[in-house]
Amino acid sequence: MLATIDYPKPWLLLQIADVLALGYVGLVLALRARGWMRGSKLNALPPLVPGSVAKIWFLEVFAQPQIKRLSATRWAAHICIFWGFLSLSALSLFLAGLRLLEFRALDGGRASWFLRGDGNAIVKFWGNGFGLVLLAGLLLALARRLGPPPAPPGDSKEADTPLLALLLWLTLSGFLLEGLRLALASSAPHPAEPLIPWLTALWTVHGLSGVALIVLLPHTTLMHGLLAPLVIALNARNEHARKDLSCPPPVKCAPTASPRA
Amino acid sequence: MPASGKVRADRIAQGLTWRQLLELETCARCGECRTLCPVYAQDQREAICARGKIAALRNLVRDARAGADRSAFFESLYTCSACGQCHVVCPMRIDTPELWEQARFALNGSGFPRPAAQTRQLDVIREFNNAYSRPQVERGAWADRAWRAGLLKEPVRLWRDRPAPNLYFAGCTASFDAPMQYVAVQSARLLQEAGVEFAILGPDEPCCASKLRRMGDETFPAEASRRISQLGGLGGATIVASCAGCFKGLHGDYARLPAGVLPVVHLTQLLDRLIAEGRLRLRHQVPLRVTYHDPCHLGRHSQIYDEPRRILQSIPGLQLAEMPRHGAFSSCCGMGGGLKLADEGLQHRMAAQRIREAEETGAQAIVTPCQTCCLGLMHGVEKTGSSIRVLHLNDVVAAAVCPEVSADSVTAALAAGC
Repeated sequence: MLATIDYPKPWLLLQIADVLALGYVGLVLALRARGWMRGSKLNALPPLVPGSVAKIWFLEVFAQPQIKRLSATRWAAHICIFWGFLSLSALSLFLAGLRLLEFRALDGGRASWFLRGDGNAIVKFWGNGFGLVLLAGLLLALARRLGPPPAPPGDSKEADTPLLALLLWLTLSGFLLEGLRLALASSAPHPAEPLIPWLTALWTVHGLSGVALIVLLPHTTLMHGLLAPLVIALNARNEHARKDLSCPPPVKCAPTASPRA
Repeated sequence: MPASGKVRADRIAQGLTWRQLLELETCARCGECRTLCPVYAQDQREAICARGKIAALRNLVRDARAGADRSAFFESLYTCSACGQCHVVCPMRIDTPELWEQARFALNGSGFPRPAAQTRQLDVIREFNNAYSRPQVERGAWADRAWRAGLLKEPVRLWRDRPAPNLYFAGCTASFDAPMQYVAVQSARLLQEAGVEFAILGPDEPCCASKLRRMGDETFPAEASRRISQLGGLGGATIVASCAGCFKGLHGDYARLPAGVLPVVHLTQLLDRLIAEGRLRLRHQVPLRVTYHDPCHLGRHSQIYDEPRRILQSIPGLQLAEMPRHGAFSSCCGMGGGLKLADEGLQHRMAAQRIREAEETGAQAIVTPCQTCCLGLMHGVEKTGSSIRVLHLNDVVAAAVCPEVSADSVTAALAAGC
């Protein structure tokens, strides 16, 4: 077992930034929701068949066969980003919750097992494992963008590439941080003292990059991560009634060549 | 004084449903909608494809003054056939055909004009109760003339004289458009051959008004409700529609309105059943290699893919070759959604593209069960100079059941009868 490396972490700064970012996102979403509520009521919906709708929803949100049918590589990139991002977000929430419980002394001493004890290996395995999944997805997505065929003008490249770059930076900085931590831990009991400030700086930048991602959420295509499950759930009811998209699955056909002159 | 951008934006938003406003924000700009859009295939501008239109509409509901892309959006919104291809490929499942139709409705209600040709067409439908500016009294005339020409086994009876368990709903095109009237005659003859008891409304048959919905006309709910009352009062008779557009209107659009669920089948569904039950006997060989064109309103919008194919495959001597794009990925001929009225040249190019796809299968004919698609595909044949024939499914079935009632013979007989 590697020694635990303790280095100064500006938790307060990050927590304030997180609260401000989440508050900002909440405000933007509330304003947007007010805009959506301007719309008229829905027409009569088809009868609800809960089992079928749930099946469509779980499949389309978590396995995303609708993307796989269109492009296997796009699906591979998207599913890796989706599961990587979702799992790392869940881990962040879990750890934040543990810290809160520990701070309030409500954890019965169990939080420290995860945060500093043997259970920390599970946390690290989870974080590193899904970090790798996310990294693989991001690299695949970038490779698809950089590789042929060239995208026509107006492609989503301009809008999304900076976002992908930020996600990539967030992932890489996380790995860099973990690498530095491991390097320092393996050098114990004579830790490379000069590297400690760098570790703190990197931890802060990594944390603030995460905050930036939260702030950007309602202004980028990341928004679909919040809304797509909702829209898929709403549309699943119609899909099931019409039997059009999920059941039976449409057959993938080769796209028609561009019109000849 | 013109309304401010914010006020107008609110009006547009109020014309959409809250779910559609939510969907505008959900689009991830993945671009799948672009890969198979038949309009984008003709004109590779971002404003044309679904995600371009969604982005522009999203800007518009935030501030109606905003966006240099506004005029491009209006143009692309009305030159969209609402074929639904983007809906099939959208990973978010955004119901795009509904969105485009509702956006047209919302924009028109907010004072943004639609193309003049569409406005004229809508005025004609409201004034004449058909899309051909013809008096309603002529609507059932095809049946009398066909009987007198010896094309039917017995006269087609009018519902008002004696109701029947089934109502044949011919629609405006088969009733009034001389080159397509054979569809109504052949439909009636095939039903008679199978011993199906039916009647027609004749001069009482209304236009289904689905074109009002396609072009986002604000009078659609009221006009459709009147027709729902009329057709709903037929004692539960099954309505048999031979037009894909009418079927979508009667079966799909009406169902979204109060008491709008009517017992409607498309003729292909009924013929498929009659063939399976042995009531419609396909006695004659039809030595033809054909390819099948799925009409958007029948395929993607109504999920009728298998029935017409089963019919074709049961015709002796006939070979069916599929185009690469078929079923849910069938490429639109450009006749739907008022596109042809907004840009006739674009429709011709789209149809020409489809004809080229059909030619590549080596088929001698492209078959479709929609008279509007037939008309549209014929423009494609003209544009490409192709030798491929455009046939209505009825014509192929009639060739196997009653070859004397071919499209050509019916058209000639009806013309002589005039």
